[in-house]
Amino acid sequence: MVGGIVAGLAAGATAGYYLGQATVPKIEKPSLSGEIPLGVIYASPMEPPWLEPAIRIAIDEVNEYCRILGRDLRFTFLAENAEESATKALERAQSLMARGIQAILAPCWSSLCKAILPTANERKVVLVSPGSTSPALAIPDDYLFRTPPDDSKSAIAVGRYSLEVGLKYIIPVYGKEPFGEGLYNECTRNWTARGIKVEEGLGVDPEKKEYGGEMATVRDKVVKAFQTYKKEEIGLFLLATDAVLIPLLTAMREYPELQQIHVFDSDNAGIPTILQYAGEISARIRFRAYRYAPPSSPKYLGFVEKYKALAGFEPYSWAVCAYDAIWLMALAILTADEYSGPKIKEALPKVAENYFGASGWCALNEAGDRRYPTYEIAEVVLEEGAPKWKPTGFYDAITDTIKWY
Amino acid sequence: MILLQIFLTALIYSFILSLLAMGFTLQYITLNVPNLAYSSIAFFCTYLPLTFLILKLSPYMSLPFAFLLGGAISFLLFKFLKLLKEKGMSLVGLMMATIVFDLIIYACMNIYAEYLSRNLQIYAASFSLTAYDFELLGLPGIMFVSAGACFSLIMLFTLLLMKTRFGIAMRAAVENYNLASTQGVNVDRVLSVAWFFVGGIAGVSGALYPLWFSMDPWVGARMFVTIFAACVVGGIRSIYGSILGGVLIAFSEIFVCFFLSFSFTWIWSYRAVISMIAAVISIIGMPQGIAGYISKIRERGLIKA
Amino acid sequence: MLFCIYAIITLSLNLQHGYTGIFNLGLYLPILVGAIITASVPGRLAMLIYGIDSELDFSYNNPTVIDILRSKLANDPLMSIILLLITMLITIIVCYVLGYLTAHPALRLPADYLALFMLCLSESMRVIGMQTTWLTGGVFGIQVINPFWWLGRYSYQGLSIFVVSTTLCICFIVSKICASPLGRLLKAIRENELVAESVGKDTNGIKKQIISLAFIILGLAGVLHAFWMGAVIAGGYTRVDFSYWPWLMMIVGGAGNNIGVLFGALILVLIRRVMIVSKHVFFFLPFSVVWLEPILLAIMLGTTLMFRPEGILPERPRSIMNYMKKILKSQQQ
Repeated sequence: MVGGIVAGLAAGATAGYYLGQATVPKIEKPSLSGEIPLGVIYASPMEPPWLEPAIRIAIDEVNEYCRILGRDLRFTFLAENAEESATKALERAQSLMARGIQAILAPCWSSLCKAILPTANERKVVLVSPGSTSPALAIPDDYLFRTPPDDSKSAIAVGRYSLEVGLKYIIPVYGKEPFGEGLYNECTRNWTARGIKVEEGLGVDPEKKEYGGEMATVRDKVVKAFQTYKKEEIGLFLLATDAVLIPLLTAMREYPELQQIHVFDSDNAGIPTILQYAGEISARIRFRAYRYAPPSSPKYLGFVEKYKALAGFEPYSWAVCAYDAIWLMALAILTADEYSGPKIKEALPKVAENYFGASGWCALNEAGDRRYPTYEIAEVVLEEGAPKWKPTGFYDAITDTIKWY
Repeated sequence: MILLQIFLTALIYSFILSLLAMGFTLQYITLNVPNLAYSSIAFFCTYLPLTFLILKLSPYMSLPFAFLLGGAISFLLFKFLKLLKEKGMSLVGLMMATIVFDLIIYACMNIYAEYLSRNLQIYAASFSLTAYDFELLGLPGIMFVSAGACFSLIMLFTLLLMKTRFGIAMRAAVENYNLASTQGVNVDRVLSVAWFFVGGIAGVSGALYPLWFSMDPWVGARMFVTIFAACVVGGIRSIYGSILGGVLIAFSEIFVCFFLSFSFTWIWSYRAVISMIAAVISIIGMPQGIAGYISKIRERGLIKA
Repeated sequence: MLFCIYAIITLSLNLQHGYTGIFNLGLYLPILVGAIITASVPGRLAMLIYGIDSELDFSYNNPTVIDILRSKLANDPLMSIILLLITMLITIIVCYVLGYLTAHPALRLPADYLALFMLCLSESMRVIGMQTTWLTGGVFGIQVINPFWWLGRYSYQGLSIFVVSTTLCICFIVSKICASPLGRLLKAIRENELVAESVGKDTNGIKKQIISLAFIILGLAGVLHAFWMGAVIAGGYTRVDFSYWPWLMMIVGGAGNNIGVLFGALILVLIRRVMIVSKHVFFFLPFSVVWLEPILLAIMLGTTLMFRPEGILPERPRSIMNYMKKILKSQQQ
């Protein structure tokens, strides 16, 4: 039987080698002529429809740029899907790395980036994520770069917002998922530093999908808070992805007390699903949210036009970040003049320092994450009977101020 | 007042869970095979009310179609399992066979959700139709519809089992497959119809689900353990027991967490564990479930009498 | 590497079901326990040994701690190996006890109840692992040490060799057990438990031991998986990946035959790899090729169940003639 497993390993290795040979164009050696494939790992099977158009636009533009430069280069991309699984994310990443890929557009989820990162560091392959924001991955001198700002920046924005609207007491409700819990930890630190009283956060199971009971507990806390604070001084912060946010909002319909206080969310401003599935309650409570938003530069507007022509709808911020991530990787490869992970890693921060993309100035901090974010604050209102997102303010991280429209 | 709202939340949850548990139990006692594809069949039908909504129709109009769709898939699964059973497949093999359907249904659900996202810009990877429910007497319509569906299906099934020849034949087939066939019962047809009916129940409960809960293609896999817990606590060989189990699990999940949350706010994130712990305790301490335990006590009472 | 891990899991499953007839759907309980131990023990132990700043928490300051430990362990091969061995030893002890405690009530149940009981326990453990931040980083997951950092840029190769060696050792041990009188007894229990009991065998006790042994093997698979990933994310240990897939591998390969189950594991891991590598071939599909995997899996499982339920390499019945010849020969001597 031991012989069997040795034979199996040998057979598997041989078969894998030849199958790999037969089906995929082989990368002979690091070279800057011919075709250079970038890797792409989607976090979820639902991502390609809104991420792929941005990637394609970037790839086409980069190839056009190379043509203008007279370089015999053509960038392409090889896409994999992690199917929301850390094990599969690692498998897919290893598959890409085994094919000689040195730069990968990493998944938008922090948990999947975390699964891939140790291997990327070992094999010296650059990862650039257009969506991961967990502060736990803000590690200096590793092979992960991130074009969106991490949650510690979002927390500063949330803290500033809370002060500006006059909140004195906050009840956080967060999804027990990397995004929600990470942001909760950062926001709690920031609120406390700004002198705002914070109730113990209520973590909800993101797999449960119905939060009537949880909202009853929150209602209980709100009613107690009414004895000490005015309604406009109490804030209910919902820190979760839209999949958890929607059932939280719909559960609020049963509790009138929760509809009298300030309800705010993180990073979900502009998401159409909230209007589709929780539009009425969101408009009723004047639900506000913010999102990482690029400044309205001609570059951004030009990208939006191209994206809409290809996809048929407006791009979400991750799509804009993905577009810039592809450009950064391509420019780093051209600058390094070598398709090699360590060289790309060295060149990328310098390239980013001087790159103004669709998402704005892409300068990175020492952890390889976006240094200066800008956020847009929006509110759900009813316009002609239909719920819509209406921008109400703009947060600038450099000055830590909000400009209200 | 607050307890009333919690009570209503638990009540709606219990109606839907009871329906799901009832269907699972019925499938189990007909073929003695736990159907691992059951929750997938149920939750595949959640896309029907969404489809009806896209067609600008009321989601409740999808209920009869959900019954038919769930029934059809269940019928196909029964035929497949019967074919394997005739080939002498063991219990393990039959359970594995239900996984075949589970995987295909899971893939189909995701393909459909992807189609809606790509082509119609309807984000179907995670959706909730609570906003499209009607209100009656200040209460959500789902409460009345789920209660009505639950009670009417139980009544219908009870009448079917007790008052019709088909029902008697079905009870005979479930009790003793071989003996029933020697008595002239067309066991194959009886069980086919039973599975169709059960699949229909699953379809209806699945179609009601997104009107209270939020839905995504992975809910079926997650809910399977909760459905199983409801069946086990109530009594996996008793249909009425599984209904009782659904009520108990739903209420314990919500009320235990609610009262504990006064001291331990973090308890809500462990809500899912409550049903699993209840199942584990029931399996160890009372494998026949509450209904089985009650039957035992009644038998003892009769014997003493 | 993935083949090695699945090989260990399917061998353990074959020991439970193929040889003993125990129907266990909750394979990922001990795998997850092994992963949790890997996430919790060696890192924290290393922090204690090296006297790293006690204000740093292994879970909450995980990246910083891992960075510090990397620099320490890269120059300390002895400590790295000691930590690895301690992790495996603790996993063996914990999984043995867990297996025994789980088997004790579970074996009184009918087969399908036992399967679903194990499934419930496994799901509970998964949810607890996901929600408990201090244990495994909760939903964030946690990075773990690599016990081969001291090999420098060959650390990944060193880890691979270790995984392969461990797999070979486990294969050797399992094959010896199966070829021994215990293996024959397990088959006897599988075929007819009453008969085995009637000849004085404590079938329940033996089943408990087998489940405990299987838990140890699965726990070690969890340890290897965690080291290979470099991180533990409790939510990633799902029943599809760590229960249904191994069952499929065993059924396709041939239950009751260790070579068969290894072959089944090899085929399925290869098929998955081929699908990853050659997905562009399926460009004509009107849907994302990601969904082809469960459909192909289902077709393969269904076809195997219908036409070859005993598997590609089914169990070879022991030749009575050979056995009788052996007995006669020994008597003549």
